[in-house]
Amino acid sequence: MPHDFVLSIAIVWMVILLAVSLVLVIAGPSRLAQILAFDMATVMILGGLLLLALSRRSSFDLDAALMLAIFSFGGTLAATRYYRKGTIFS
Amino acid sequence: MNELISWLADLLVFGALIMLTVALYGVFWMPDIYTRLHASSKTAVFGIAPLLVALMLSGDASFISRALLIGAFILLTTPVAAHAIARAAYETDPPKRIERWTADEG
Repeated sequence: MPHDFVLSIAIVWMVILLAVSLVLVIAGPSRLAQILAFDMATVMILGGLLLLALSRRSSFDLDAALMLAIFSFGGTLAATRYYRKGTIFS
Repeated sequence: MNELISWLADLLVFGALIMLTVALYGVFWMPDIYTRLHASSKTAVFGIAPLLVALMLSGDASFISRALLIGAFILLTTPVAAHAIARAAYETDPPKRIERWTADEG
């Protein structure tokens, strides 16, 4: 397990990265860039959950991280399919 | 030995943060959707993996099993998501000019 001050710095850094990626979700130049920035935002939240699991020494946060990975994958696929065909289920 | 593992985990956490920062800077700075995908999809995997290794260094079986599961899932699904975005970009707005580059043309 890392030291506590390292984890504090890392969590603050990860929150800054999450804020920047959320700004990119709003201000992306195209719709697909916004979808990509949303995917990056979920990656940042996933990293934050892993840091939280390191900080609290609890393995239950990893279950939440796995669920977030699954749902972000499905969300990205659904968003790109909606962008391509205009509908998700055809 | 325990202190050494702690410092190694510190190093892995900072490596992961640097990788994710590079990925986000690439997504912010690259001009095209394809180059943005090139910046994000590889470094996202290598940004999450050191955190999972730092979790595995604790030696607890519950951490190791879940970290392996998350690592396998990220490794499988990140290329698929990047391919879906690239396919949507290619089908709706194809690139105007694609030149094949060969070595003997200089």
